[in-house]
Amino acid sequence: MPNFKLKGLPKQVANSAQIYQIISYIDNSYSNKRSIEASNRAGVKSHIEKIELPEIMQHFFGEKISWEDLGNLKQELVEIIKTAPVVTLTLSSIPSSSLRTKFVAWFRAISPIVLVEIIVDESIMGGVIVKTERRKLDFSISSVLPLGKKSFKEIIDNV
Amino acid sequence: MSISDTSNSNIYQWIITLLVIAIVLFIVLIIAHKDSKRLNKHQRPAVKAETHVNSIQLKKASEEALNKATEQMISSYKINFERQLNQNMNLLNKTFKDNVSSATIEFQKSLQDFQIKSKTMTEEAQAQIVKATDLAEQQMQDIAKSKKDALIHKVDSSLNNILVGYLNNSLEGTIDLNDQQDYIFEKLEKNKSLIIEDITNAKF
Repeated sequence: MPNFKLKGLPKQVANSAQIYQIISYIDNSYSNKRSIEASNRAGVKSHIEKIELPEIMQHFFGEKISWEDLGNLKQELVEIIKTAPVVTLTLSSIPSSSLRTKFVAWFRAISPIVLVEIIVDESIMGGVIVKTERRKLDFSISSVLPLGKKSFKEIIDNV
Repeated sequence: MSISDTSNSNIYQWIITLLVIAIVLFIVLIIAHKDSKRLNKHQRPAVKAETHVNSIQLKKASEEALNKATEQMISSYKINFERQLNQNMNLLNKTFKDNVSSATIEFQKSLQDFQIKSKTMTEEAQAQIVKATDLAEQQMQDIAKSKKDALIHKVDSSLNNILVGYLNNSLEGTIDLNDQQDYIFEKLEKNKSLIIEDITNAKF
């Protein structure tokens, strides 16, 4: 039985794209490992001298993670992508890294594996639109502006 | 009856009258001539002289009568001629007046026709002008409406961009997400229960 069990996603990993990136790192690491092992068996010096876990892995999961743990981690990440709840935040501009982390942390406090997708739409002018699988909560500035298309047309008609 | 027929009739009457007078004088002269012969045979020279004088007087009277009749004939002819002339002139005047009156009526009628036609043409021209004006106004309204609709469509289609640009220009880019944190997290906290409900009930 594997020792590693993912308790939750780190807040630096917000969405499925980043998870796919981690899975790619894991696959590359395994590929390198197999290459070195094959070279050793053939008595040939591999061009890959040392297998290093991606820095992000160490940063997220610590130094003690083993190859077996990586395999388990990959399986869990794949499962998370398939089943984790997704929240989409629409913002008026690209958030800073710290603010992005703050948003993710707020949602991870609710669910440790929730995926937070962030998209940018200048037309909302400010605030946020939170979209879950069940509803859309619009707290944007554009939604509270008194001037809409209809009222603008009425203004034009009265010109 | 024409003027020439009336003149010929009067001439014939006067010719007949002159012939009658001439015949009478001829008879008188014949009788006088016989008396003279008889006197020449049986009477004395004094009577013969008297008869001669009477003959001369009778001849003179005959000439005077003939002259008088001729003058009367000429006078009558003149009067008749003047009367005929007057009648003819009156007839001519009447004809002329009738013709003038007819021409005047025709002229007045043609004038009325022209007035009616002119009025009709004027009304038609006015109607065409009104129609053209209405058409031009309608076209102007259509163009204005088309431009207006195009403006509305253009503004509607890019309203958000216009508003964003307007606000960004007004605020000079001072709206930063970091400045919106309080507002955003306040909204999130207020609706946290809904978000929790959605996330925890999600298929997992």
